[in-house]
Amino acid sequence: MTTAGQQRAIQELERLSSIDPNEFELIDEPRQYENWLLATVSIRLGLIEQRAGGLDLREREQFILWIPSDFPFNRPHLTVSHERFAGFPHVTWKHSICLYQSSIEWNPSDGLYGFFDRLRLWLTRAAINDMDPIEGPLEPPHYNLDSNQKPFVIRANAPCPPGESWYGLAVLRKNQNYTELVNWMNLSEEWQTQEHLAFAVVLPNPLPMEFPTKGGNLFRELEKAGMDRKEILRDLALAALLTPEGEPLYLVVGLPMRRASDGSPRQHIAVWTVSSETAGYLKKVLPDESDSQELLNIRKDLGDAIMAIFELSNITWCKILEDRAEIVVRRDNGTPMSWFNGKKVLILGCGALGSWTAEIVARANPRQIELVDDSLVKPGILARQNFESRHVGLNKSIALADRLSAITFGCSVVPHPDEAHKFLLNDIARFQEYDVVIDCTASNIFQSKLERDWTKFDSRTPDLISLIIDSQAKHTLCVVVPKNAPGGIWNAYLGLKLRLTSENGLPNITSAFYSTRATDGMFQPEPGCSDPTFVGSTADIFSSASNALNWAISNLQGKNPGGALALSTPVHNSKYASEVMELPRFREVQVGNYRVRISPHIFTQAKAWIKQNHRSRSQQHETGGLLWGFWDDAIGGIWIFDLSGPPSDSRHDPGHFICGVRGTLEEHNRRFDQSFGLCGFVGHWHTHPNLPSYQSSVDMSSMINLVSTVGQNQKRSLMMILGSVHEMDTAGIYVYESQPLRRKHEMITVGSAQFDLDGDRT
Amino acid sequence: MIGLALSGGGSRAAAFHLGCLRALDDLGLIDRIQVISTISGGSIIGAYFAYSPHKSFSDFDSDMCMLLKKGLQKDIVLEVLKPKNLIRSSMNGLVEKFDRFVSSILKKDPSLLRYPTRTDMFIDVLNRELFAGLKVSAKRRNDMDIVIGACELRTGTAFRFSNRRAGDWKHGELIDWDIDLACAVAASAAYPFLLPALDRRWRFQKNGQNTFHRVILTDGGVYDNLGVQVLEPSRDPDISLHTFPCEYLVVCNAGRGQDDVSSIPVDFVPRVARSLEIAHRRVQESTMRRLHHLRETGQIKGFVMPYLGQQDIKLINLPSDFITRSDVVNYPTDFAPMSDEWIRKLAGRGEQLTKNLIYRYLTELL
Repeated sequence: MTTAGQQRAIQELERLSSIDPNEFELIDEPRQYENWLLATVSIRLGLIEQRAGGLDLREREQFILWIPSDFPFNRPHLTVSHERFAGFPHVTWKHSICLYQSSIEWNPSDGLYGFFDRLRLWLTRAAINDMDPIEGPLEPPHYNLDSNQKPFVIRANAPCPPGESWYGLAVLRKNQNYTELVNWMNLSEEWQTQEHLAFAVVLPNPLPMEFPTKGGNLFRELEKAGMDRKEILRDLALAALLTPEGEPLYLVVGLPMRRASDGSPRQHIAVWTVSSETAGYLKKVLPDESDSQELLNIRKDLGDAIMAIFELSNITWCKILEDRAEIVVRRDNGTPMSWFNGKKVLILGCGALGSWTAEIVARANPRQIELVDDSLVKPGILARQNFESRHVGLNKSIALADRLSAITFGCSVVPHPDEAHKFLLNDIARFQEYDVVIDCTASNIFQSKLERDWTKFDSRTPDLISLIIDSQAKHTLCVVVPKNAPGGIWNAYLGLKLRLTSENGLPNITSAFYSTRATDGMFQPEPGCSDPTFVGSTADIFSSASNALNWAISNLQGKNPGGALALSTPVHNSKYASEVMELPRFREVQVGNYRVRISPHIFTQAKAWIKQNHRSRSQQHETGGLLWGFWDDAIGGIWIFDLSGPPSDSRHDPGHFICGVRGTLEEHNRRFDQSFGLCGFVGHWHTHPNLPSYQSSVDMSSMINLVSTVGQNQKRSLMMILGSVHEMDTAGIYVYESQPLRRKHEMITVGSAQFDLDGDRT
Repeated sequence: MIGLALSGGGSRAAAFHLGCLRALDDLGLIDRIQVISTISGGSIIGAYFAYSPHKSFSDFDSDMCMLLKKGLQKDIVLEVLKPKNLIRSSMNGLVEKFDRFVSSILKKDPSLLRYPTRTDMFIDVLNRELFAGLKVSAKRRNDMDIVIGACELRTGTAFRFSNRRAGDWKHGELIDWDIDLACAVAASAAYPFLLPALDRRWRFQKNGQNTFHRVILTDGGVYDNLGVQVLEPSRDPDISLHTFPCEYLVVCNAGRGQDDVSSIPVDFVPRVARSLEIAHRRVQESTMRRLHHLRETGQIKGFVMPYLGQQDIKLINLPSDFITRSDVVNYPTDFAPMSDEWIRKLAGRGEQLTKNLIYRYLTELL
C-alpha cells in the first residue's frame, strides 16, 4: 500500500514532469514493489562536458527510483537497468548509484527536488571524472557479507605498503561480539600456540570495486592480481591449518584499494571466510613428507574437488570495522584532548574528579596511563564515580585500570595502589618521565607536602595540571604548572587565591572556595563514620573535569604555558562565568631554611616609592614600608605578595629611616580578612641609598618595634633592604625569629641572602 | 600596546593627570605608552607632555606645576584686552552680525567666519606659554602617537587632530592637516560656557573629492569626555580616521562623579552646567561598562581607570597618606592660579589611584 510519503513523492514527480516534460519525464506510472514505490524517469542531460576517464553519458539517461515507505525521512535509492556505469566509483553492484555518502547529507525538506539536483551534480562530476579526487579518500570495495560472522576490527596497520606483496600471519584476538586483528607476523617468526592466527596474503594489484560473488570469478580476478589457483588453494589450506576444529576459516586479504584522508594510498583489508566443514577438508589438502604417491594423488583430487566446489559457490566475506591509525581519522582530531595521543600520563587520585579525568584521557589514546590512589571503591561513590558494581571493595586505581583497559587499545594502564605523595617520593627520577601529571587529589595536605619537597626534584618536573571543585560542585579551579617550574601546585593555588581575592572579579567563586561558605553543604555520607564529602552528581563533576581539562591542555599547548582557570557551571538562574588568569611568577630566594618567593612587581613598587620619595624629599632620604604576604612554616616558605609605603608615623632622614607602626595592625587585619587569610604582615622594607643592602643595629630595633605591634606575627619577621653597590641595585633579605628562652621582643637572625635586582644572587 | 587617555576637566584635570603621569613614570611605564588620546584640559597637559621630547620627566613636571600655579585665565584676559585684539574682535563682531542679518533676509547661511574670538586669543596664549608655534606633526616623546579630540557642532561628531591626520567621518580628512598644535588644543579645550567655538573653513577630502566645509569646533568633552574611543579595538579604519587599537588602556578620568547635595543648581548657568555634568557621567559609566566588556571578551588585555570622583570605599590597600575624594572633588575646572596645596592634593590623588589600580589589575605590566 502506498504510504503518505510515497504519495507525496508521486506528487513531486508529477510536478517536476509538468514543468518541462522534455527535461524530466516520468516514463510509467509508479508501481509498488514490496514496500518500495518504483518510478522510472528519463532526464535530459543535453551537451555535458566530458573528460577522459569520466562516465560516458548520453543525451538522455533513464533511472529507476526506489522510494522507501518512510519517504521523505529516508532517502530514495537510485538504479539503472543497464551496465554502462558498472565499475565507476560510487556505482555499486553495476546498477546502484550512491548519491549520498551518509544520511546527514540527505535533507528531507528538499524531497525529490533536492534529490534530482543532487543527481545532476553527481552526473556532472562523473562526466569529468571528478568523483574521487586523487587527494581525497577512496570509497572501499563492496562484497558479499556473511551475516553469521562476527565483524572484524582491524587495529594493526597493514604489514606492507600498497603495491607490494606479502605473506604471513594475522594475529587475532577474539571478543564476544567481534574479532580483532591486532598484529601481523612473518611466517619465519615463532608464535605462541595459544594465539589465534589467520593466514594473510597481501596482493600487489587491486580487484574490481565489487568483489565477484562466485568463486570462479574471484579466482579469475585473483589470477589477474598475481595469484594463481595453486597458490589460492595452498593459502586456503594453510589458513585451514591455523583454524581450530569446528570454527570457520579466515583468510585475510590485503589489497591496494584504499586512500587515507590525505589521499595517500593504503591497503584495504578484507577477510574471506569459509565454513568450518570446508576448512576441515582443506586441512587434508596439504601434502606431508611421509605421504605415499597414492595419498598425494588423493590430496590433489581433494584439492581439485574443493576448487571445483568453490568455482560455483558464493564467496562471502566478514564485515570489517576499521580502526587502523593509517585509515581512520580520530573523531577527536584537532581538539585539545588529542594532545594526549601517544603521551604518558600520571593521574593522582582516582576519586570523583580523577576517575572521570582518567576516562577522558584514556579515550584520547595515550601511550600509557598510570593511576595512583590508596582508597577503596565503596558502593555509595557509584553515584558520581565511574566504577562498576563489580569493583566494590577493590582498590580504586586497580578498579579504574580495569575499566580503562576495556576502553583503550594499545594503551598500557598501570595502577598504583599508593598514597600520591609517597608514590612520587619513592622514585624521584620517575616524575620527569611523564608528559603530564594530573592532580585530582583535591588534597591540601598532598599539595603542601609536595611543595615542601619540591626542591628534591631538582627543577626536573613535568607539566602539571591540578583541579578542584567546591563543596557544591558548582565551581571549579584549575591550575597549570609548566615543566621545571620553581614552584608546584600549592604555589600555583596561592597565586590564584591572591588574584581572586585581590581583584574580586568573581565573588561567587572566591566565596565558594575561601570563605566560611567553603564547607557549606559538606556532609557525611554514612553519618557518624565517614569523612565529610561534597555534594555533587556525575553531571556536575564530569562537566567540571572536561571543561577544566580542555582549558588546561590548550594552555599547555600555548606559547607561554602556565596559568589558572576559575569557572562556574551554568545552573538554573545563574550566569556561566569563567576567567583565565595568569599567575604570578615568583622570584625565589633561599634565606636560611626558608624559600622566600617574591612577587616580581614588588621591586617595581619599591622603585616607585623611592622615586616618589626623591620627588617629595630628596635622593639622600631613606624610605621604606611594609611587606605583605604569607608565611608557611609547614612548607618552609615565605611568599611576599605586596609592598606598601611608609606608615604615617615613619621617620625619613638622610641616612636613616624608621618604619612607623601606626595603622599596621589594622591594615594587617584588613588585608588578612580581605584575602581570606592569605595575605598579612610578614615584615618591612627600606632603602639604603648608595649603600650596600646590609642590616644595621637601627634596622634591628626598628624591626622589633614593628613586630611587637603586630602581635599575631611577633614570633618571626622578614626585612628587605634595597641598596646599591657600584651602581648595581641590590637587595638583602633577613629572616628573624624570636629567641624563645630570652625576652619576648628579642629576635635573632636565622637567615639572610643578598642578590642583585637583575636576577643573580650575590 | 599601551594607550593613555586623558579626560577633560580644565585645570583640575591637568593637575590630576599630572599625578597619573607621575605614577606611570615611577612605575617605569611612561616610556611604554605608544598612543595618547586627550580631551580639553587633558589636551593641554597631554600635548605638552607628548610634544616635549627633549625634556626629562621631572622638567616636564616642574613646567606643568608652574603653569598650574600661574593659571591661564589672566593671560587670556590680557590677550583679549590688547587694543589690537579688542578692535579686531569688535569689528568682526559687528560685521558678522551684519552678515547674519543679511543672510536671514536672503534666507541663506551666513558666510563670514567668527574670527578672531577669545578662543583665537587662547591659541596665542598657548603658543606663547607652551607650544611655541609647534605643528601637530612635530617630533614627539618616544615617537608616540597623539589624538586631540574636539567636537564639531554642525555635524555633532567627534573632530580629531593627530600627528598623522585630522578630520571627522562626515566631512572626511582635512587636507592641510598639519595645523598649529595650539589651535588643536584650543579647539579641544574650548569649553562652551567660557570660550566660543573655533570657527574655520577648511578643505576636506572624502571619497576622492576635495570640498570646503565650515566647521565649528568646541570642547571635545561634549562628545566624549574620556577620549577613550580611538584606543578601543574593533573600530573600522575604513570609517574612522583615527584608530589605535590598544592591548592595555590607562584611562585617566578627572570627572567628579556623583555630586553631593550641598549645591543648589537653580540658576541658568549652574543648572545647565550640572545637566552637562550628569550627561557626561552617564556616558562615562557606559564607557566603563564597555571597557569591562572589552576585557571580558578578550578584546583588550586589561585596563585601569584612575577616576578622581571614584568612591573610595571600593579601594583597598591604600597608602597611609591617601588623598580622599572629598579632599579634591570640589575643585573647579577653570584655569585660575592653583595653590601648591591643591596641586599636591589633585596630583597626589591621581598618582595614588593610578598606582593602586595598576598594582591590583595590571601587575603583568610591572
